[in-house]
Amino acid sequence: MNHSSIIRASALEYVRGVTSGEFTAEEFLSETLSHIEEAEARYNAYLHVEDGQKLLARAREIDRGIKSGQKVGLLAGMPVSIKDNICMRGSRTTCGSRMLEGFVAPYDATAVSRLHAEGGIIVAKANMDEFAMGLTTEFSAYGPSRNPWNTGYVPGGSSGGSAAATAAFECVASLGSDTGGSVRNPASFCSVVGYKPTYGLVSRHGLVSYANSIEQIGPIARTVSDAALVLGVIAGRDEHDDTTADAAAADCGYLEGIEGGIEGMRVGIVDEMTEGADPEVARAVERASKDLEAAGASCERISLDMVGYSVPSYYTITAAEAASNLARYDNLRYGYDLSVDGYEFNSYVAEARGRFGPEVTRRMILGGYVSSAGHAGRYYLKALKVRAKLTREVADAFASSYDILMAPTVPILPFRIGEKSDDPVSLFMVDLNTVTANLTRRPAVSVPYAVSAGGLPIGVQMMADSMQDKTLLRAARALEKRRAPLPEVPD
Amino acid sequence: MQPRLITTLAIPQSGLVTEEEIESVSKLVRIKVADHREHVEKVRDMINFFDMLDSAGVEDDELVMDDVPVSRLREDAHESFGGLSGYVRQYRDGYVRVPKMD
Repeated sequence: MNHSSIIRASALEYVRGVTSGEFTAEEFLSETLSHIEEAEARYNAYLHVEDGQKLLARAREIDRGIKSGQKVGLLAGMPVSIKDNICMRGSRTTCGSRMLEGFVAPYDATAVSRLHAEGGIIVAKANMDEFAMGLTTEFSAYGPSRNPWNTGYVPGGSSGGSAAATAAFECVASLGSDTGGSVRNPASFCSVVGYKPTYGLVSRHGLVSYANSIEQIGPIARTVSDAALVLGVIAGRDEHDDTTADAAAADCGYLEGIEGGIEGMRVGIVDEMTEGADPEVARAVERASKDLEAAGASCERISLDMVGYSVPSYYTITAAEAASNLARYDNLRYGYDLSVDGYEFNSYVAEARGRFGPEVTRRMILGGYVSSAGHAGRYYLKALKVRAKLTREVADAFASSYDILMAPTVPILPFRIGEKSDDPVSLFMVDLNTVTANLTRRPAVSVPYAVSAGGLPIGVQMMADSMQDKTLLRAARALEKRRAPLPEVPD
Repeated sequence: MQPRLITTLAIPQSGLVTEEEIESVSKLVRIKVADHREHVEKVRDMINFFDMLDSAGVEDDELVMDDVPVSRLREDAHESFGGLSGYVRQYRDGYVRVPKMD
């Protein structure tokens, strides 16, 4: 492999290359860091790049380990990035917010500990919508990230920095967090793979909370197998997060059987997620279903009535949880310099929270409104009932007929920066196809499938039943193998 | 072409959210908003959108909550990360300075 192009390696190619001596971890990392320096002016994918000298020292340690035959972990010095709402000890963690400007995390998230334990080298903290509230990365207090396929377009969000960085070879893989599609939507917009695990498969310890009952950390990578490799590293029971599944259920061998194909599987294409989609997007899903049929699956249309109510249910629940979670930002335990002199407690806290951006402010107001005594019955409790009914519908579909549910990841093509940022309800609709997996706690993946006539990526979403993550990855890999070759991301 | 949700489901326009109501909720969640008018229209649009839940036909459904036995929760024990006082912004002589309580 030519050293000038090694940073384009997939995760599996990286591991093969570095362990076989084709290149060293230091060479790979050095090229990645040089590339980041040049690429960041265009993409603004990262909020903070770690100290290069320290990272290179760690890479040399890995190289010495490989040479002397020691265990260096499954990732063997692979450069990865993490979304800026995931804590890493000693590193800035701002959640894309001025509220946490300069905050340095005092501990590692469990996902970070596991990446480190398997030899991952975390090179940077990725840009994101403030506190993960957004779908475009335009709500970052540090400026929007840009889509590597066309820098005038949004990369999706809220893990837009992670997706843009992975697509632009600024890392081999990245961790995002997915509350309503925040891993899959940017993966679709940037033509990379985004994986939202079954709720409870990956620990949320050290993930800054937004909507605890829904969100999961998930990998973004350039291939399905790469996502499976990273998922295997970060998944599993964690005593710091009681919502994690037990060790047996979270069997971590996600690469095993991934080439097993889709023959005999039944795939339901969800009407409510495909009707009304952009014509180019709808055609891509049709072609994807033909690809899967050619690989031995049977595909048919399915209707899930409650999907039509999933978006208002999702936004009601997440707003209520966000208002509760963000109540911890009183600027006394962490925050920025604002003297308490002359303030009464409530007015101090309110003043300090003036640093929240407009979207976070609105969601806190919304959360207070929908969960307040006068309105909870009409909004919050009803949203929970919709969630329960949707969960029953989806469970029935998997129990009675289907192995996989399929749809466009996002029903529209990527759009220009600024095009929708002033219209929150129009932005909500970008989530139409992704929130169902979050509300029902099912695993889902976005697989890059096509590029539009205008050169914009289109992703296909696949969803499986709870704890059927291996089946889902196998199906996603089958689609990846069958799809027509995709163009390279423009330089 | 817009997604189906917009084209086929009518979004009710109750328009009941007022500037005063937003001001009141802002106080409840302790968030300072310089000009409530700035948020009225967008919050109203969002609330109107949430009104779609009225047509979901779930009024008579029972809400079933998951019970988690206490034994499944981790021990409620202090875990030291060390040096945390360095994170407190108003720390002096072993005490945290907080605003006065009315």
